[in-house]
Amino acid sequence: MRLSNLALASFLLCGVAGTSVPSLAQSLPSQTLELGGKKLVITRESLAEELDLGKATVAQILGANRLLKDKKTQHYVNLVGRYIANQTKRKDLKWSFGVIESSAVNAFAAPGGYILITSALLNELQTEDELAAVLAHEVAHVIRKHHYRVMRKQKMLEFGAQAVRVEGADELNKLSNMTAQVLARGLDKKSEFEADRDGMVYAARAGYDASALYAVLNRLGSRHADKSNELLNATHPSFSDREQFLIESTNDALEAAAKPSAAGPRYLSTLK
Amino acid sequence: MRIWKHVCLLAVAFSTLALSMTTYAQNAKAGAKLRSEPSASGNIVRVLSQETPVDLIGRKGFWINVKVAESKGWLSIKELSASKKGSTRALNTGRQTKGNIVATSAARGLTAEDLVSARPDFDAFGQLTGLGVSVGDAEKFSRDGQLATRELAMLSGPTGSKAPMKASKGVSGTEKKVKKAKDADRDDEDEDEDEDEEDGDD
Repeated sequence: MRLSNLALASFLLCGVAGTSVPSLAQSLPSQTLELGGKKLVITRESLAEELDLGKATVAQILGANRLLKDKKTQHYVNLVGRYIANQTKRKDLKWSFGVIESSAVNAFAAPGGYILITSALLNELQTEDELAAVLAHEVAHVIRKHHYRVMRKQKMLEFGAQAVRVEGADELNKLSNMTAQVLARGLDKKSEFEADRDGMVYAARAGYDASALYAVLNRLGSRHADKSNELLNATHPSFSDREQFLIESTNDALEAAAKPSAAGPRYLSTLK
Repeated sequence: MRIWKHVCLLAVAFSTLALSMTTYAQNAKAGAKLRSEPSASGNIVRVLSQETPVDLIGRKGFWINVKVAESKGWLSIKELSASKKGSTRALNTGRQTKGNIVATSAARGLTAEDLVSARPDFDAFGQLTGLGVSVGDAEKFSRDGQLATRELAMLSGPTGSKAPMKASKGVSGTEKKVKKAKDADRDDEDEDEDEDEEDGDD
């Protein structure tokens, strides 16, 4: 195992409690975490680690389903996605959005601002408002670092508390496989509800229909469960619960923002 | 043979007609306000004194067009009983079957097993990052689409699995903040989460 143990504090995951802790890291805010009966002192999260995990996640998904070879569609999805990301506090990330060729209805957020959506999910959507709503849900996962936080804990378990950057082909492959395990298990329901609620606000801030995510969930939920959304169903709360949560979350301002945008029809006119 | 063809055509015609005439029953909560417009500022047509069966006709945003006895009007989705979750799905109009907007040749599936057993493709990661666009390009794109940004605060409140049931209807922003403070002892998230919830204020 070739791991570079950087002394740069902002990257550092340092020591099991009771053992020596590098002095530089001690000066940083830290938190204690219980993992497998061990107490770990960890430093603040780092962008470098987040981007590494994002890269590993994307590589793994793209190993299963390749990017769609349609530049116009990819560019359009990036414009919508980037515009949504502009409404958040992490505008500084180098956001990239990609459509993958897949018969599964799903979308993925990887740490660091990498979002993938399947061609099968694009085929379920009808307007730019709906595309924006789906991308906004994924953007919200990145803003809240949902996957990053789960993955870094898992990384500590598999690579040890001293592992900061993972290097070497075999180790990188192992890291990628680890991210797949996290994606396959899914997040907790709370995180999914948060992403729904935050995403609804981001999309509405951008000028899109605040009810578009509700409409998408409503439509997907009206279909009989089939193989095409098996992973989506296994890793998310039920469509009914998500719809109900969104409705209960709305306030007057969002209700007023629940109307189709002028850009809505651009979805079909651009992609057809 | 020919007769059967006509019978079949007739059967199809009737089933289509039946479908187009179908309305979907649901109950409205007691106290629900039936309004003339799909908006909280629409005139109140009537107030339902008790839980009342309504027929769902259509949806606009978070408002449902309903028929109650001889009256028609709009109800906030919040005022529909939660007993038949997802009943508004029946209102899905437009394309009900999967479209073919994005043509893919022999697209593969993506199950948990597919994901876990895949060999990571790091070259493809580089292709993805090459697709990103600039902030400026996205802003121009939004102007071309006549999209106008809105000032909206982030929402807060409990998000546990029972959250939909806990949240009270029509809670104002201020009330939600108070509720959030009350719920703080049940919130096991770290400080960063709270920072994230203030996202709307930056």
